[in-house]
Amino acid sequence: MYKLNRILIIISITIAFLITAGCTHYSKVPDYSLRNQPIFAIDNKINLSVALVQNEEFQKAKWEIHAAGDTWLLEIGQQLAKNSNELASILFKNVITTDAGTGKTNGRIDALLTPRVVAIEKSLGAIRGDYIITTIVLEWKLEDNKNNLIWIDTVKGKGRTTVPSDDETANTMLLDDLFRNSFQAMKSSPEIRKFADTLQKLRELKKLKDEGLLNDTEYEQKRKAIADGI
Amino acid sequence: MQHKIRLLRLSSAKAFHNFQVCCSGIIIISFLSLQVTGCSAMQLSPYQNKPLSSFTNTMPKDNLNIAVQPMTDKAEQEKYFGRILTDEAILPVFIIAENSHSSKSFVLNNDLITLQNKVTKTTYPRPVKTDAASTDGGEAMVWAGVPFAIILFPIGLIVAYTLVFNGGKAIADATVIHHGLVDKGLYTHTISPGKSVEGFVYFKLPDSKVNLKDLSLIVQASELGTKTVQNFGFTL
Repeated sequence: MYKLNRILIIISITIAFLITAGCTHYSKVPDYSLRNQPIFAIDNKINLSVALVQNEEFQKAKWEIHAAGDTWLLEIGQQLAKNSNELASILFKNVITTDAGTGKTNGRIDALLTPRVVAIEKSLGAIRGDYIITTIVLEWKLEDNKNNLIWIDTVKGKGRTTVPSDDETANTMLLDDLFRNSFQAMKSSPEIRKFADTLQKLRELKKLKDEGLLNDTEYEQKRKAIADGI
Repeated sequence: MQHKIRLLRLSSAKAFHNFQVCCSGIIIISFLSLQVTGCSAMQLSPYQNKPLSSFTNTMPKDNLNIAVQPMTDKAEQEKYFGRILTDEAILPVFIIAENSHSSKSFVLNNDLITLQNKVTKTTYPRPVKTDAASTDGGEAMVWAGVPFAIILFPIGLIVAYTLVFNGGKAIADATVIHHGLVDKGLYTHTISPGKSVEGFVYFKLPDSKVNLKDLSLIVQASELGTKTVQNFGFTL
């Protein structure tokens, strides 16, 4: 009887190990949206038509770790892509989304806005009460339609929870922090505002020339003066 | 009377047996509790940076002031990164850049910060995260627990338990170290007038015995718009 019990226990341990090994722990990512959140309100949009360049790598951004036969997975690319689009729409006058990187899709484009995931790291906890912190490092680059750099910045977003983890809340915190910081970085950038103002002045100048109020020499002189201010 | 003595002996034997079971239980529970509490994943301290004026290795150019400071103190490395990085031949260098120009903006590109050996002219690469900490050790401990539990059951369960928890802690610690490196890193920024940026850049050295005086750190910053490049060269 004792031997039978022992064999049954050993079989149970083996089965338990075999079942638990090879598990994939998905970190639940909420359907987050920054639309209609008062914190993302802006009085005057940046007067630029922007092509938001989202390549496949960005759209499929994820964090993954394999250890002890298990896999921990945080697939966040879809939410990054969706909310980058929403953020650009809040900040800029016109936005189109492209994955081509050319910006030559529909109509006139003033600038290309490219987000890039620099790093995603998540610290795991070992026991109940340990912190689990996820950080995303996101680079934003704005170039004119001749690929001259207008502005570049890197922001971080953090989500925090404890074991046993509430992934949904932590990932909401992560996305919220990331896009808040992205919003602040772009909204407060003097370089972006200056570029938009310069383009606006150049457009007005062109209009004056088209209406015959400026001759070619005057137009060229004024255009150069404005462009040098960029 | 004899009957009473026999009853007393029997009851005390039973009580002694219960006492033994209780003691064993307490010892095992205490052992397990100690294991669990000792298995908490490490926590890193946030880096308390100082103002640029307090650095000795600084260089101003066109109102852009950059300061660098390699972190060589082992206790500091342990505190902020959870590992003595220099023992893993990783050199963390803290960089702070402050733009005091009234109108110019500068771009500090993380990829254009390089570390060179002045003697050999070798440029050192950036480390990959597994250079700092690997999950392999923890993984091996977790897997080693399985045969212990099966072959040496039931005593082996305690060994397996210890191995699995310590393995789990080692894996969690490795992720904490990876996270700390990313969290404290310096990335690419536009430094607007009046603004500053800071963070660590990491370099992988050939071994842990490289003389810092032989190393030269070059930070390249370019003026936004004119694209004029400024090179800031530091001897560490």
